[in-house]
Amino acid sequence: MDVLAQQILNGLALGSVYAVFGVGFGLMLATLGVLNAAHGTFATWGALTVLYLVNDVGLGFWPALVLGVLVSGVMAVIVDFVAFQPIRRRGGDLLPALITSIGVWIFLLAAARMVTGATTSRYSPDAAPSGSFDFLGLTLGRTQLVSLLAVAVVGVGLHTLLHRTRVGAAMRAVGHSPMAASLGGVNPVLVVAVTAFLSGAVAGLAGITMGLNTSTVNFMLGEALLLKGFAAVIIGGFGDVRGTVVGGLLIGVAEVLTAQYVSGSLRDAVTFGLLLAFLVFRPRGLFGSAASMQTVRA
Amino acid sequence: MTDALLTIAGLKKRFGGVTAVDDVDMVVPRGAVMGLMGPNGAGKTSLVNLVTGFYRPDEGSVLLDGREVAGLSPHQISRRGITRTYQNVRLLSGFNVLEQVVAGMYASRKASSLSSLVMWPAERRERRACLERADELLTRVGVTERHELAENLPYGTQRRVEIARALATDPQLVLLDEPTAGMNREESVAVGELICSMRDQGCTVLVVEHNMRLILDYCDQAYVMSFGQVLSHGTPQECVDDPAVQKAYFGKENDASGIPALRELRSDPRRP
Amino acid sequence: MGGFWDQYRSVVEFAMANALFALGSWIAMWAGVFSMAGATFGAVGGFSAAYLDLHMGAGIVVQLLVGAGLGLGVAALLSVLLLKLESHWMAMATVALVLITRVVVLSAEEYTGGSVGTGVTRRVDLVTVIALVALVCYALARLRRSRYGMAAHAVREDAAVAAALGVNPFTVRAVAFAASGLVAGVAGVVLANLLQYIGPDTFFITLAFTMVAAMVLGGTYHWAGPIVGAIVFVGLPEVVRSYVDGVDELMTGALLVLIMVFMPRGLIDPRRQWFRRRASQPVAQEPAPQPEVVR
Repeated sequence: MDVLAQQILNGLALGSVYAVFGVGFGLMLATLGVLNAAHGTFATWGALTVLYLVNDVGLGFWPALVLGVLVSGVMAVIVDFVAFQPIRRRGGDLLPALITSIGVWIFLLAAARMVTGATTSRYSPDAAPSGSFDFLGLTLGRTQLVSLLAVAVVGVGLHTLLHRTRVGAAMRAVGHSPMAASLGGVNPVLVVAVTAFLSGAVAGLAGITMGLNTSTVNFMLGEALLLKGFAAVIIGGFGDVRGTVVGGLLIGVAEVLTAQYVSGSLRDAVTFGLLLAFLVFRPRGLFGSAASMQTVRA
Repeated sequence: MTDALLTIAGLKKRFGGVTAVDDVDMVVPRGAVMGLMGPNGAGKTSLVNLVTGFYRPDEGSVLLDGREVAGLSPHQISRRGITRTYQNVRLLSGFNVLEQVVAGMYASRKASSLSSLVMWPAERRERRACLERADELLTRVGVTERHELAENLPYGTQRRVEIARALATDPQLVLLDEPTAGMNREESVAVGELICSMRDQGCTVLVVEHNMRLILDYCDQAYVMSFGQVLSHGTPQECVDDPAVQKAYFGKENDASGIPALRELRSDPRRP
Repeated sequence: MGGFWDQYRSVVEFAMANALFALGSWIAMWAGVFSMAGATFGAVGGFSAAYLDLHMGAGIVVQLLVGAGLGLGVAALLSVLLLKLESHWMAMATVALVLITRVVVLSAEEYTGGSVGTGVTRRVDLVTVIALVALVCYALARLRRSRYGMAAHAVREDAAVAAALGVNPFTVRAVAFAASGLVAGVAGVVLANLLQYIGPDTFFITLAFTMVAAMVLGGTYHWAGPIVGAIVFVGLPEVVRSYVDGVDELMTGALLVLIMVFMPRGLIDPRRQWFRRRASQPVAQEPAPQPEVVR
């Protein structure tokens, strides 16, 4: 029983990383209409920034984290401006934007490999949080706590932003129709930039916590996140922050329990099997509405 | 009706709370040019979508030549002999004018893909026959262009190409959805003449139109729909004279302003 | 010329193998199905070729036939599951399929070698690869204006209109998807032979992205598009790499973005004037401008 509880906790911690990434990825998909293959590289670059600042500059972990998140966010804004805006302006649909995102992905991945020299490192243990403590009779790593806090902050924060503020309303409106948003007196360019920034920043945060939890940072860090985050978004039902969070946590728990009780080699099988099953039999996901499916079509 | 080609009975379609087509009965005799009028949102296009299988009816039946077609999918209905044009022309981007029309011959082409692969004589013959037939049909509808991309042609020509494509399916019944929308008077007259020539070649035509002149001048009979229901039926003139129709079109029963204009339509010399 | 071939033989070979994959994706796209499942069918072809090679010493002809058949069969089975989905969900489902393919490759160890992968004896040469590409092109050129080809294009442009012309969109899409499986299966056999080693990451997301990127880059409106796309997308970086090291991927990525932004319909666009000039030579035009006036 204790093992089960402990593994569920571990699963939630793992899943929270997927969930945070998925929220950013889903934001881009649902409001900007981009199935962004390059989103994982935003996470990678966030983690690489922190790696550089902590290990080479000697900055503290927390200020480095803030800067890393900013770098990812700004990167997403630039990418959106260069690669996605021209296509959106032309009224193109998912396909051309997906292809340009593949171009961006190749570019940023290659750049990441160049700067890291394809080596794997970790945040300096002196600076980064480490160790564990007792939590209701279970062991909780400090790094796990960071990712759980991250999902709480991102999940609640973004959901509140989208549903309780004017900017959030405008962001959702942009997702449904850029025209409608501009009619409502909102500057669509600004709203798109804010959305891109948030979606990239959140991905960066996920990448940083991923590097923290696995003690490995390399140029491929974001790629696993991309696939798992994609699964979280689809399973949760995209266009819905809560759904994505639940989807991510569910995947994390499912993976850890499968590894514990069935076989470590079937971890990915569970996640991607669930992904395919949802796409085929319940495309709107756990929480998505039929309306949110319209967004991507537009 | 002795020889009904299309018989619609009790046809119903709801969208959410709105009943777009509400218990419609309609008979289109073989060889007729039937008009279908009605104000915007009367359910005319919905009816076309139901008959062609684009929508699945909630209730009711659609008989073509006595055989039920309601509930079949669009391609099955098309192969039974009902085809249509669209309110906003829907040509296939990337095809030239001839190819647009050849695309309509899908069901009647026999040569298999295997024979296309090796270009057997059968395939060559068939391709040539299709192109010749497309050429004839285009001549018949008055289109001179052949190898231009259809999307680069003027709007009126595109409509004619669309009609030629519909005729290429060898239809028994053609549903024309607002064939003169966006056309000037001369172009409309030309479409009217084209409709008559289609009838004379053995096609039955159902014309959905806003343009009452077209209905008055070229239709044998007409139905008027309003709010999803059939409001009136008879000769076009009877329909126009029907007080219920006038009310539906002009808001109140005794609004005289629109009626003389309608009456004038009668005086078109082209009418036999 | 001989020097060129010696230097770039393998570049051409890989470009052609990728062209086969891109052609496979294009065949699905022909009927409006955006699919990345080519990587899955490629895995089916590639691992079956490896198995045939390793356990039966089968020659390339047998490998190609089996790869084509299995690719076709698997695609036909999957089409039932996938083709009812709305297009974007279908596209994402094919991504999911590629992700699952890797899991299957990893767990079917006795056939695929699992995480270690498996070696393949090379049995293709450049001529065979080019001949295969030419064969596919020949077929597509013949089918372009055939009954099926026109129906496929019609379904892609407007499925509802195609249906009203008597075309069953589902059948047309299913046939296209199955045919794309056949070509991708063949491409998998070729790639396995060229690489001489295949593992779980050979037929994964990178390959899936490469084939669709090459297809879209080259242009999705003509069968020549995917071939040009594969040459530009796979061949060009290889050539660049032999002169300047390290920048080829940066260049590939930037090039892809630039072409998509400035030439959204791809490099080969049949709408473009120079491409149509030959086709639009006016034939003898009899003066028949007036509609027939019957009465």
